[in-house]
Amino acid sequence: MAESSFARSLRAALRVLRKEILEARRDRNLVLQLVIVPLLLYPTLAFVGIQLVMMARGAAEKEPTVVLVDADTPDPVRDELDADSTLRTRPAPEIWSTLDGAPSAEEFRTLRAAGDPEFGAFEALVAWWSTGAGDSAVVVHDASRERSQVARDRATAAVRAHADSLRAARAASVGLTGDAFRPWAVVIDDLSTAAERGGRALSMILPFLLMLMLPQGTFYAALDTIVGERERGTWETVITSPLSRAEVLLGKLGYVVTASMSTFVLNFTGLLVLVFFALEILLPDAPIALRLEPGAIVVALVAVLLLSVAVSALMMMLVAGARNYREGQAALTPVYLIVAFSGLFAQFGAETFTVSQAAVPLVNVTALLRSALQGETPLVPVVVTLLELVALAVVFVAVAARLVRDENVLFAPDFSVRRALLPSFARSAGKD
Amino acid sequence: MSETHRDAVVDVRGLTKIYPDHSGGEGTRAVDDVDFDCCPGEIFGLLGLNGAGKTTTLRMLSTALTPTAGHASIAGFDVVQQSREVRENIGFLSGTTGLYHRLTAREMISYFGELHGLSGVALQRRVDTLVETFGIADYAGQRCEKLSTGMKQKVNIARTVIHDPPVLVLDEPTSGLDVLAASTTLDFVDEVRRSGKCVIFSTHIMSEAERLCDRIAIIHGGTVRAIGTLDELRERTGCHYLEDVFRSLARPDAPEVTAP
Amino acid sequence: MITGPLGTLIRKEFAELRRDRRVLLLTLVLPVVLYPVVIGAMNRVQHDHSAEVEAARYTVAVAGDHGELTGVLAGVDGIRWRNVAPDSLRAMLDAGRASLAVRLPDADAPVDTVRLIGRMTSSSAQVVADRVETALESARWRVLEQEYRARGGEGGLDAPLDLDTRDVSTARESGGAEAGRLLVYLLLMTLFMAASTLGIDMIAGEKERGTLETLFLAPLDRTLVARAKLVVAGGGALLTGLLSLVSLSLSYGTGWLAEDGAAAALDPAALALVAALMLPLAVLLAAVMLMVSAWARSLKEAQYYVLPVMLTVFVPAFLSMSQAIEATGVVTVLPIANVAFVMRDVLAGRPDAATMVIVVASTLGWIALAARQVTTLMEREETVLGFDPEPFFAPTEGGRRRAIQVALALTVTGFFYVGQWLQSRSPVGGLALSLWVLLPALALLTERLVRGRRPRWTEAVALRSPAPRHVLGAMTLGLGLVLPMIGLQQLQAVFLPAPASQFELLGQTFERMSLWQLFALAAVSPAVCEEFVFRGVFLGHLRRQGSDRRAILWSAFWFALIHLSVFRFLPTFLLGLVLAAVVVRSRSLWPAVVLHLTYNGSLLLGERWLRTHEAPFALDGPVAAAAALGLVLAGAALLVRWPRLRPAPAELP
Repeated sequence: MAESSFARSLRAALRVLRKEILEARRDRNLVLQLVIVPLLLYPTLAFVGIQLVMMARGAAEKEPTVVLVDADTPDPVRDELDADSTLRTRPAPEIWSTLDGAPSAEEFRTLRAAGDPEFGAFEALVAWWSTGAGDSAVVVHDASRERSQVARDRATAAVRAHADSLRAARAASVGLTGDAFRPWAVVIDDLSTAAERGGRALSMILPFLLMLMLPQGTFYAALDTIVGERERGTWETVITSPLSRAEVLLGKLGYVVTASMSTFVLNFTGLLVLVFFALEILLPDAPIALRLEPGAIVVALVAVLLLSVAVSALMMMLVAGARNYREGQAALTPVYLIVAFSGLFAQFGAETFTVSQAAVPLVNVTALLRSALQGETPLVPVVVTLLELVALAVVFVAVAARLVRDENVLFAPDFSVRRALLPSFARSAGKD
Repeated sequence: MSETHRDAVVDVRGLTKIYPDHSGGEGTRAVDDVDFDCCPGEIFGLLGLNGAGKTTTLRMLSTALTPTAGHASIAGFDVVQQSREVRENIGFLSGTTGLYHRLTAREMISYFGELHGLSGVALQRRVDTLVETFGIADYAGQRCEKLSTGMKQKVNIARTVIHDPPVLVLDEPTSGLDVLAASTTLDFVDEVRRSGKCVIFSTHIMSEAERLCDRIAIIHGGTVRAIGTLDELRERTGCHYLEDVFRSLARPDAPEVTAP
Repeated sequence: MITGPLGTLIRKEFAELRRDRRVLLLTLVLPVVLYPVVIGAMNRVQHDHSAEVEAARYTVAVAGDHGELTGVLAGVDGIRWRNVAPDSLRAMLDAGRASLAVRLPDADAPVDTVRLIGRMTSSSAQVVADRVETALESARWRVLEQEYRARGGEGGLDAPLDLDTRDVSTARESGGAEAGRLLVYLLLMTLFMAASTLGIDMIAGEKERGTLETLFLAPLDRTLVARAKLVVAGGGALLTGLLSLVSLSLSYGTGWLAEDGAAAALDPAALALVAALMLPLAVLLAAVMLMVSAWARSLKEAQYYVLPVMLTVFVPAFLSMSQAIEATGVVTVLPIANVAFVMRDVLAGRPDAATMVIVVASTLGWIALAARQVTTLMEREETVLGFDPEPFFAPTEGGRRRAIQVALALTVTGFFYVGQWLQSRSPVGGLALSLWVLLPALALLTERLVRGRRPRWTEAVALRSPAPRHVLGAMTLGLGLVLPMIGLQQLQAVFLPAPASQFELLGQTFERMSLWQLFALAAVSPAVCEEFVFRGVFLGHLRRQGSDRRAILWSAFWFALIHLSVFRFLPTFLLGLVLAAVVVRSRSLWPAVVLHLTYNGSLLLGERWLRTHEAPFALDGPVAAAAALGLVLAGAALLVRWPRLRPAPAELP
């Protein structure tokens, strides 16, 4: 009876799964990886990162960026710059105050290199002079230095603000004030909620990291459960038990998927909590809130689960012939790298989850994650992704099952996956 | 061709295994047209050098490998067509069999009991019995990685018979063991024969074969050169010591000698 | 050439490596080929995406009729306008049929406000909003200009101000700065990958293959073996780094790696300097991975440790992409981070010789430390024989020591999460809860984790009655430490300045509190709770597991760490040392409580008092210094004068 044999197979596979999990729980390294890393390491790293940022801020405040301002520069500009606590203005050298024009690049560098205590180490210089037609201002800066860029931006903004006030004064002189001066106002109604902004922030950081974590969990579990048996000499014992090879495979697959999903979920939670705290500490006033849309997250988890099954089966397949741990690693590293790096691509593509993204394996999962973190699950791309993942999972599991039935997997010293797959179709027929 | 004993529980006919050669050649005949059978309460020995084909033969019997030609049946089930049933009726032990490091001895035995369909109270009781019988009680709760070789072997043995199979297939079970552990194993084999099981036992150690086996098949180069009791083989070859018997039969030109 | 056994060892290692295809692939080929390809492809994708965004036509829904403005909008590039009724604007947005919605004021409306409605998290909405805003702004000035002239204004409204910016950096410099961002990060990760592949294989891999034992049986000093492996692993990593550097520089030079395809010429001198800086870095990373490899029991276990170490290297690598963190002060001695920041500066054309010297010197120091650790680990029996060292939490001395350290780490982590959260909800309530509830709870948890046999509580936290001398001494000491600590903090501010925001929130909160409230929260609470936990429970456990000196050091360390701020670390650490020493000396917790209370209280009260009163003498003058010194000495004398004490509660199990 088909049904009872299916139930029996399932039960047999569950027994294998239970044993694998029991063994894994006692593996100190696995516990370390799964629990300690997200729990202790992330906060530590975040703490270190935050402290470094704080130190940078402290250093910046201690030594404000100096902007040299020549004598002709109007006071409002100077005042505006001084109002910024991270900036300080100083008078530029006499010689430039009297000249028309701004110093050349060489003069600027020479002055900076001279290290004159009177001027200090300045980052930008505002040169101002009047011509017959009006005023000219040049902000000289060094685009290769971040501080200089900041100084340039502030100085430019200050000058523009001054120019605006000049215009306003002129307008006022002919009675153009108030509403007349501002014929219309432009108001931006941002419909995005704090939660959406939070989701956006999360979607920029998390998906790539998670795609890095997923193959990590799969990698070690697959190695352990296949190569480990070989190293311990227990393969033969298992296959001479009443279980069919497919059942054994299923049980082990279940274990690898469990390990992989656990890694994913634990890291996801750990990172989420961490991002939350980092934002609270570093940007307490930022108008973002971290909230997850349950429905979208469920969809994402389903996709990740399917991907996990596919990757697990693929890895188990590739490692089937490895005689020892090192060989297994060598076989799996390319897969690991491909999965890990695929996340990078999706991170930089279009921000909405499109059908074209959905068609590319791996990229589609990352894009789906990004979308889900923002609370969106566009129907067609999601369905395409899920279907594709199901197809991949089925194919890889089937191939892995076929491989496992091949007796050479276990005994031949020169086993090769490729050779096994091609002519072994016929051999596996009729094998339990 | 040897005769078939009527109550044989293991029956092997023309069993052949050819490992394909990937460079297009003919392939290696690891086992070539092997015939034998075994009855309950009998220890049947496969004696041969490393690479003679013993392991391959036993793997075919345990359904790990598929025969290229020939038939084998255990307890009436064909090893190819009814492999699951075959595995339900055999207990397999080899010198390279390991244990799961992070399981305790008891868990190790229970696990395989479960795989063989035992569960609940019945399983518990059976495990307890085995623990008692093999004297594992003192370390039943310890992880397998912490056990000494001798202890591991006992656990392995218990694992082999957890489901009380009628046939035991033992592939060089004492290889790598110290004297005491080897002795334990051999005692066990003896005991098992007394309880009416059929044991197929392969070894390259003459003294073991001499001590235990009811009938011996000398296998060399993938073929069976002789089958018979020790006395029969002595008579045939005119040698007394099994080692000499073996040497005389293992020559490439030696004729096949089988028991009546 | 290196001769003797060291040379032999090194040559053997290299010979083995040369023949290991997998290692060669992973360390030489992959980083050199992979990164440029991946980064370049990524840049292409991003570039194409940006171009796409720029060139796309967007649908914008507009409602309202304002002749002038409608005309303005019609002139904006790349927009398809859909006129809809005002009520339908939101619907259009929600249905995704428009990227932005514009509500124009009706011609007869009293207030002219143009509303741009949309989800600004979407880049298309932002792009469109920018374009519309720009168009409206220009239109506004045009209108104003006309109006100005119409009213008889002279000249134009547009202030005759010509604003320009001038960039003095050369293409090379700015290219270098740009390249430097990503380059350093990639180099660091490459070096790490190579160091870890090699390092893991050289000890754990050898152990697995069974050749380590044989090596150790040769008449060789293990230091020599460690050194040889360090040379090879470091050298291999360096080689990879150099190849990567070349490949990345070429990629930048040909414009493949720039987002817009522009070639960025990197200064060869800078590159050479970066290459030189890679040497100590490569060796340090190799030393760390060798340490990991030696500590692990098997190849598999060693692999597990790669990820945490990689994440640790990732943080400074990532932060080096910004120029915000400067290589000054404390940063110059932070391992790995210091070299990363200096490399970044070199590529941006700002090499600073003094900083580089400090950085290299400190890196050499870290290498020496790590190398020594490798040797120590290699001398352990477990490394060779591969048998299991005792379980991490075994009920032995070593196990219990580890257990308490883990418990302390968990306490700090718990405090990091829960305490921060509590304090973000309510500064006062949160702080109070953290001190009175969270800390004791975590201490209790530690107690459970580090079971042993439970001693009586009073013994465990040394709640014996103190000698009056000790209490007096503690009070005196507490008072005397105030000025020195303030001085220390001012000194610290020189090389580790704290940002104003660090203490802003707390400062504001404290302002609002009355003196008594403040005293209760910031003096009494920490004095009681922190002493109970750190000098009571933790110090007690640490003393039982090891020497008093180590216990004092570690308890002070964790005490400092739990304040979760690098700026408070040093002062708190020193205070913690004093407090722990007081407990050990006086065999009672109370003097420490008194000291802590006096210290905190004096700071608070003193600060408040000084706002309204003039100090009798200059606080940084000789009188103050003498007074402080006097108090400290007096306090110490009172504490120390007690005869040599019986050792720590050794009678406890």
